Amino acid sequence: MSGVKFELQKEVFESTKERLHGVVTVQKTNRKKKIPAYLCITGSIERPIRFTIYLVKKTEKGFKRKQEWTLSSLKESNYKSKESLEFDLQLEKSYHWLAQSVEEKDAFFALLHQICSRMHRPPKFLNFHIDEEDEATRNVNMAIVSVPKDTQMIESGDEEFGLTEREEFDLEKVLGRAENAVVNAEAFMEQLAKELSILDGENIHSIMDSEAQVNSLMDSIDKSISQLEEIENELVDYEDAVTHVKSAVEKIEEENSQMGTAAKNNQHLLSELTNLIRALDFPVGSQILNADFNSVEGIAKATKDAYALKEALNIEENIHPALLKMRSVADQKRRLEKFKQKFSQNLMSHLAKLFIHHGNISSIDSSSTVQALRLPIINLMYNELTPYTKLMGWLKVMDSEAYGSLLKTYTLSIQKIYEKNVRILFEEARTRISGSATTSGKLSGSTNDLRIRGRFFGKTRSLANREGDTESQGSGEGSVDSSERQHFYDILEQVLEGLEPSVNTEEKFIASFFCLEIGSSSSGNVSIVSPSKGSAGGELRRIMSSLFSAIETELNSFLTNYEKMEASFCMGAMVRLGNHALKAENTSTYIGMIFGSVLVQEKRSFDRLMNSYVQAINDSRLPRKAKPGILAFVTDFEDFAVMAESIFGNSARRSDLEKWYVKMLTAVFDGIMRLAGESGKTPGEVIRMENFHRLHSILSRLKVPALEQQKKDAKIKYNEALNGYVTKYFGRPLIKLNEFFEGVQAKVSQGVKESEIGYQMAFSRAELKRVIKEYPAKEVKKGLESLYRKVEKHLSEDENLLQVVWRAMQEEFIVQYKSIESLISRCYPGSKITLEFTIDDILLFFSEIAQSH
Amino acid sequence: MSPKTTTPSLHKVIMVGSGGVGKSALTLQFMYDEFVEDYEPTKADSYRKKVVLDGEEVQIDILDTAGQEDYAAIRDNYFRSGEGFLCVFSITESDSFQATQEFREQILRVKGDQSVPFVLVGNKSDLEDRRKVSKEDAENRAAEWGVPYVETSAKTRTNVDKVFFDLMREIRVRKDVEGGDKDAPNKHKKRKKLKCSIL
Ligand SMILES: Nc1nc2c(ncn2[C@@H]2O[C@H](COP(=O)(O)OP(=O)(O)OP(=O)(O)O)[C@@H](O)[C@H]2O)c(=O)[nH]1
Ligand SMILES: [Mg+2]
Repeated sequence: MSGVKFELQKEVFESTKERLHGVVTVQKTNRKKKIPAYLCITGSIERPIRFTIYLVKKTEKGFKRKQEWTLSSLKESNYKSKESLEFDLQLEKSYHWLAQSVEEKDAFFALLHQICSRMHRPPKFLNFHIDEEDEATRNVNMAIVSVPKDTQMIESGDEEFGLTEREEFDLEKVLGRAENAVVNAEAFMEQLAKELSILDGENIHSIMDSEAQVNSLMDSIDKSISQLEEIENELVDYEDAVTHVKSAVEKIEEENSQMGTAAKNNQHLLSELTNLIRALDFPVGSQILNADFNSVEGIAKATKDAYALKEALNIEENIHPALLKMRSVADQKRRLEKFKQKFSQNLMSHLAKLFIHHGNISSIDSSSTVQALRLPIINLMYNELTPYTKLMGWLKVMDSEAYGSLLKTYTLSIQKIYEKNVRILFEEARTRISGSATTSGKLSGSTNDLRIRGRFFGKTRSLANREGDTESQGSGEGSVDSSERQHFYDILEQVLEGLEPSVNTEEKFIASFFCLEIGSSSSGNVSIVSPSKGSAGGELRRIMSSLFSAIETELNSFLTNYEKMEASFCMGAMVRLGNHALKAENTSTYIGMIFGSVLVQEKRSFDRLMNSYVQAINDSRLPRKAKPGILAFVTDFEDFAVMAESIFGNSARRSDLEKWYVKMLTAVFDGIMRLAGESGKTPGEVIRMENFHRLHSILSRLKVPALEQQKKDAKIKYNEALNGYVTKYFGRPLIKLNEFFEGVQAKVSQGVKESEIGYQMAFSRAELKRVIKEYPAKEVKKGLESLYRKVEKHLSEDENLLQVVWRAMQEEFIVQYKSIESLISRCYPGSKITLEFTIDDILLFFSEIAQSH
Repeated sequence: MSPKTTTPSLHKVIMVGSGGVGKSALTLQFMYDEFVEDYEPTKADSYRKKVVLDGEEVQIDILDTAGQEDYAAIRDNYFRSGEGFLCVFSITESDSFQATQEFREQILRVKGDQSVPFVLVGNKSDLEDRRKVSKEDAENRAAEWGVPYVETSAKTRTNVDKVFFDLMREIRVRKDVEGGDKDAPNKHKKRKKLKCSIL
């Protein structure tokens, strides 16, 4: 037996950390086959100790746990009798086993009883009694139960449940009491045994006492359990009842909501139908086709009906697309579509007739207004057409093809009027220009009559090759006088002013009548008429261009024609066009755009003209006369500037002019310097002096702030030339004296002492005396007189600078005299050498020269 | 320039007077309608302008001269060339009024003509608070000389045109009196005289 126990411990319970306390070999009572099995009691090694009962079977592979129960699940154990091997254990159910031997059964029960006796609610033991013998046996068996090798287990045989802390404490106390009496071990043991039996007894008593109480508690628990079960049953009944009611209520609810939906659907259907009928309804019906387009009332009614029709045809926007599939809807739509087709046809033919009619009557008599240089405004037509504006808007949306063709008809009919009137207007303008110019005759006839006088910068060229024919090179500038010029500009101004109202009115009319305003909501539909330009603005511009294409052509040819006779006309044209293009009422209108584009052209002509002026200055030559005087391009610049100022004033184009002023002046400055360098008889200084003096005066009078620097430069250049001229010529009367003293000065600057100059060969006193001798007062006077004559000869009448120059020369002559005198006194001290004339002599000569003319 | 059928008659005016009295200021105001605050002493400057004098287009040549000249004789030449004189002083400066006497004498000597067109000009009339020369004194002197006296301000342009136009009128009157040989230009006469003196 112990061998089996050892094996079991090793093979089955080692792994689960349990200790096998007892085992009994059993077989089930109701089984024929006697397979041996082992019923084992184990306790866990770990604390707290859990006791378990196992049924282990031995198979070929070894032991196998078949079943297990916790010890607490043991409710009852029946020992049966000492003679029988049978015993029962009431676990989760009742088990009947047959032990192998009575000894094993006894030992097992003893162990079971012992362990259970410690439990809180020990199971019932039936037919089992503990006696002394049994107890003894049990003790023996206990030893057997213990694992022999585990010495600790043997020693603590009594306390195999392990020691609680309290127990340990008590034990120590007991042992501690007997410490001195170790010698008397036997007495001590006896005492201990006695105490133990007393304690055991007490223990059993207390256990027995509490049993009755526990039993009664158990009973009452059992009772309450059974009561609870009753209540539960009742609750289940109630729940069943409630479940029935709930499903009934749910059903009712569902039905209710279905009814609601149905009602709502009906309402929807009704409103949808009402909507549909209202949308499709067109009460006027075919009467729309009898619309009267000839009276204002008729037009108003037709407009109203047409828009109602439009509304009806617009069903797609108002109703659900699915409804369109309804037959009646489709039918009605077809019917309305037909109305629309017919109506728009009627409208189109009526309007087309009107357009053509007006195109014809308006072009018959309009020359009377054109005579006032005003392009007539076709008010008659506008008045008649305006009532149709809304219908036109309708047509544009509803029948873009008809709209497009009407637009074309309109353009073609009205184009004729404007083309003709524009032509008449410009013809009238031409007549007026030539008519009034008969006195001077410059602009009156053909270009052959024009004498190209070559004023302005053209003159310089014609003078350069006087032999050549002037006509061949004339660009025509300067061929008219200022009153003719003014007249031309006045007429141009009238033409520009006369064009504006009519063109602007037409543009406004078209924009509103054909719904072409930029940003108009239905602009998308225009794309049929003008596939390339999508925007209404582009379309408007296109129509305006076809109506008024004549304006740009006529204006251009008008200007080009007169600029051929007088190139400088482009200046005034530029200013006028600029002013008109900038006018508030012309911004972003067609006429404003035309003016702008012609302006660009005029600006180009202007630049070309200015360039030709600059070129003319650069190409200019010195005139072949004794005194060049004021150069032609200088006076030309003045004339040009005076004219340009009168034209440009403070207009917006002024900056264009000022740019050219600067370029031109650069050319003028360069030209003066260049020609002064080329001059023959007349000193270059005189040419520079006179011309820069004049230029300064011109610029002073012009007072253009942008030319302030040029003005200052002219003054500087004038003074430079004056000083240059004076120093170059004032020395002439005393030339030898001057040369002599220039030599003296040179020596001095080389380091010769002034007092030792007299010892130099070339500058000895004798030499000085010799030179001085050559200038007696009479000679000096002659020299001064010839100098005066020379200056008079050099200077031109143009600039009146004789007095200025002569004053400067007199001043310089005195300065020179004084410097010679002081040099003599310094270089030839004590020599008593003096010039043969005094300063008073000089002043007298000056007075005499003054008196002599 | 192609000769024009009617050459406008030319009047030669000389500005005389002490330094700083406003000769240049008057000239610039008359010529260009501008007033220069800065003082820059003049040596000699020539101006030319076309004006309409009593409906007739005439040309005026103005010679603006130096107030300070070391040698008075230098002036002889341009006094000689002048046809009329604006003798300017500043009403704020007694010395300048005093100096007009000398200018007058030199002009009469050079021109050899007691009745040469001449206007006595009291300039800077805008500076009334700094007046040193009474109107009466100036008028008395003018009366003594038998010439008009005008007070001007180059700054405010008061009487600026008046002095020039008054003088031009006198010059024109003188020319008419002188002999009516309008056809012969002035320079021709001068040439003759010059040649004579050389010969
Ligand atoms: N308040 C005032 N100042 C003036 C007037 N005329 C001239 N001035 C000032 O007086 C100063 C001299 O003027 P100028 O015109 O240069 O004098 P000027 O007579 O030409 O002098 P010189 O050339 O040296 O002979 C300048 O600073 C002028 O601004 C005037 O009428 N009123
Ligand atoms: Mg001055």
